[in-house]
Amino acid sequence: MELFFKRHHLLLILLCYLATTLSLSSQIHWLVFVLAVACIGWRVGIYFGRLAAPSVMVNRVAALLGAGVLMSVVFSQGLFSAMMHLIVLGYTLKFLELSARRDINVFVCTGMVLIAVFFVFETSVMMALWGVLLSVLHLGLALSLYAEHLTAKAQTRYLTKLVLISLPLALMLFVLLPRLPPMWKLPLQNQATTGLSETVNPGDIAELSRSSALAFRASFAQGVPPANERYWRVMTMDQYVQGQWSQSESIKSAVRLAERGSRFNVEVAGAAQSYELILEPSFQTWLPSLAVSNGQNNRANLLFNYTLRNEIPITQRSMLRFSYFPDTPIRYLDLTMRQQNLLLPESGNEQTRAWAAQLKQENLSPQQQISRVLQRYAGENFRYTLRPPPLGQEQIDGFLFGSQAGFCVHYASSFVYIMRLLELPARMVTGYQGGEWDEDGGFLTVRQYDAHAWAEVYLDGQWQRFDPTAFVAPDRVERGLESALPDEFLAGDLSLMKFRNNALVNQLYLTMAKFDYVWAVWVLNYDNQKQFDLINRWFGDVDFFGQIWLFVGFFISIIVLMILWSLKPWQRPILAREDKLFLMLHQIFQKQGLERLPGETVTDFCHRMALVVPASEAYVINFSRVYNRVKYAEQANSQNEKDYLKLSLLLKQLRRHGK
Amino acid sequence: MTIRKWFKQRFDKWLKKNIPPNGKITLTRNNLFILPTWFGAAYLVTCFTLFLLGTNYQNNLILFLSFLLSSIFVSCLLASHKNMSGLTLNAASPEPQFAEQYIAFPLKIEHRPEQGQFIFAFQQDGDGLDALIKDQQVLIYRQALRRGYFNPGRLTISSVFPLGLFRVWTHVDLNWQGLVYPKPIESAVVLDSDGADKQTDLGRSRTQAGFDEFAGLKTYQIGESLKSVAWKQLAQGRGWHSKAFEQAQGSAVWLNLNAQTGRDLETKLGQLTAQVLTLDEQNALYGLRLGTQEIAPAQGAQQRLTCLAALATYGINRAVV
Repeated sequence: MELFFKRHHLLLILLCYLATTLSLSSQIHWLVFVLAVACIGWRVGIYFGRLAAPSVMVNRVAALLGAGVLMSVVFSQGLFSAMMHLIVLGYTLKFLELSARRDINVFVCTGMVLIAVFFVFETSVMMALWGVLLSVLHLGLALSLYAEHLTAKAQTRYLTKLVLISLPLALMLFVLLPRLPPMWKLPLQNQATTGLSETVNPGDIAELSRSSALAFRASFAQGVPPANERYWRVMTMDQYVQGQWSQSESIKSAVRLAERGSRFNVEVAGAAQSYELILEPSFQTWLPSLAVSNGQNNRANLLFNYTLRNEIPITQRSMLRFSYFPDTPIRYLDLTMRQQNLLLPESGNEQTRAWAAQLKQENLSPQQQISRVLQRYAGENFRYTLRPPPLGQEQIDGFLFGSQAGFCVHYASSFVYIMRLLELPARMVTGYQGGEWDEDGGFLTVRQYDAHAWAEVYLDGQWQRFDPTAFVAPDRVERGLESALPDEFLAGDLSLMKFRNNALVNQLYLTMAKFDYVWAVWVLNYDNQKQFDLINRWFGDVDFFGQIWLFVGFFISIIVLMILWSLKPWQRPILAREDKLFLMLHQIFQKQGLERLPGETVTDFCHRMALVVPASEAYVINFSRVYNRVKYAEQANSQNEKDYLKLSLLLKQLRRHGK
Repeated sequence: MTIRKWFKQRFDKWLKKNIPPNGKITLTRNNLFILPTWFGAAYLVTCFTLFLLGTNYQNNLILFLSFLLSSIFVSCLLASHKNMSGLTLNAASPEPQFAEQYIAFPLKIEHRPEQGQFIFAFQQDGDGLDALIKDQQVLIYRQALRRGYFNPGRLTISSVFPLGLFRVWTHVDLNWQGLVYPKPIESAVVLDSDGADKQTDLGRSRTQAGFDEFAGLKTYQIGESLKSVAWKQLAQGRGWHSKAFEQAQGSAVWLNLNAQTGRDLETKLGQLTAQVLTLDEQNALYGLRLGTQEIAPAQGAQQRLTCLAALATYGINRAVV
């Protein structure tokens, strides 16, 4: 082993490696860790002199073999995973090849890229701090190679200082550097999707209702809509097959088109309100929105069913801005769509069919028919619960005439079924309803348990919303799931949410939520728009060029500050006036090649100069006399002033005559 | 190749003008160079990669990491300069050495306690030994090829502290002048008969060395050469004694350049060097004639140094170094 490689280097490398790979462990295949154990074992063996360092050939074979095996195992997980595994493989195999400082340098650079990969998966405050700590640890490894004269403690201190003085510049770059749009499409990480799915099984929404995970947060420029208007539409389900609601082919193809950038143009009416969503990663392309909303300069595209799709899956906390037109009706319906929204299986659910047929014979207007149906929900013994008893093959019959216990999907599903039997075009809408409004923070928090399903019926030339759940459990719509089902709410959940009736816990929870929101808005989703707002708030109206000048100005001033800190000009000795004058005298002789000797006093120097340069004699002897008087004799200030003048005069004379 | 040479010449000229030779040099921003190392370049590429990743994934945390690492790069630029700036070099004169041996050039450095990790090497260095650094004393080795005054050329002091991202360096000329004795060439001692001492013999007598006579034992004094210790007596348990030699009467001998058998001047000087060493070892009373130069007979270390210095500089003009 080379001389530079000491025990603490090995320990630091191990620490860096383990901290980084374990942080990514949920994404890394276990084979990597097997390989890591082998490589680290070999390295430790080399360190203790038990094993020989592997030859270049062995390294290459290990790299090729490792890459081959890993690729065959991980390639199905997608390009992102494959690339990440290649980097991790290189990072791991570096243990076999640590023969020069250069190898450790490569290790450090690779580690930094892996930390970036870590940030693709983890974006919370703690994880961000942890990632920065990891990168500082890698820098510490580099420092330990090049700062052997410092003790470990001094190195830590030095590194901390180095990072701290770099922070202002980094923050300035972060705040002021304009963000560029993505330059090309990179492979996205593959992860299980969360939130609403493309089909509706009653079980799915019940599952979501048990999760307190964040779905998204919203803030409104013109005030938050009232609780019973917070219907966040995500998808419409217009196809009922085998007891399951799903999207018909026409919607699916519209989704594919929207994901490629095509938009459904809608004629908007009324005033626009704007709102922002901070979406948690769902790894899907759907976007929740209030009807009717349009994306603002983003990649959110409207479909003909007035829902929105993003062009890329939401893989990280993303912020999107929308314009909301509450007065715009949902109008679109064409012939095939009409047929699709009336379609039901030929048979089945006979009890319901009979009941609907009976209703139809009463010759009521559609409005009246709908009221009758809704009254049935309200009047009979319908019960709202997240744990309904299992229904048989005939789901609708089982629910309407059997158990009469269920949650939003059951109500919406049976309602749409009846509507279609009454020959009114109807569809199920899934999404979120409600959310918790934080007055101080000014944002609405929508969680997975706010997932909801309701119905839309085409009536009087527009799609109208009907929420049968509201007739059974008005609390669900007005105040959320917790009020509607206090006993069942988050039964299996262990998060803080459950203990929120404790004031202290609630306070803590709210503070954390607010901080997390600020983090999401101002750090994770800090973009050009936010930058522009911020600059305008601080510096008034600044146009694009103004922004550039501002950036350049800040950049220069921070660099200047760093240079000042580094050179510390204020630590230079402050010279007395007489000494400054003496230095000037010294310079006159320096130009003639005469230096002051080490240890020579001012008096000695002046006397020597008098001998060496006879012409200067009168001036320098006088100079030394006055100098000593000013310097050492205690005299009045006025006298000192006179002496300074005298010294200056002598200098002037010396310049003129003393050469 | 010629362009390279031309650049080197220009650079040397520039160095001479801007960092003139001096025995004491303080490093400031006027005489320091700084450039990123290989690692520094790789680090920048990494920063840029992170920037691209952050931009393409629209991930602000990755962007921040990229900005932080770039800022640390800038801080390192200042920190590595600061590590060298203010370093004072005080050159001391090197001990003379024989040709083809390594001369140690001593240097005293003064710096603040937090400064360190300096690498010393001569600018034109072949297979030199590593410099020896102990506290503030540094010895830098360079092989002397020929006898005479030896100028090791400019000294390069560099440092990659703190993170190895930048190399700060300077080429200083510390006005070093090493004295190099000729390489000793083993030969029998050839003496020049001294006419003044031996009137009868006008010709040259070639006498073998061996004129010291054993004069008896005396008590050993601390500091005497170990060579003179009477080991036999010591081994016999008779205590520390040293052997005293006395020179044969009138035995001042002369070494003469002209008397040497060597083919050319350098060989002859080499032979003379070896002979001076032999005579000195035998504690002889000897003088040296080099052409017109004459060193009066004497003995001891001083005489040896005088003679070796004369041999080293014979025919060499000091000004032409």
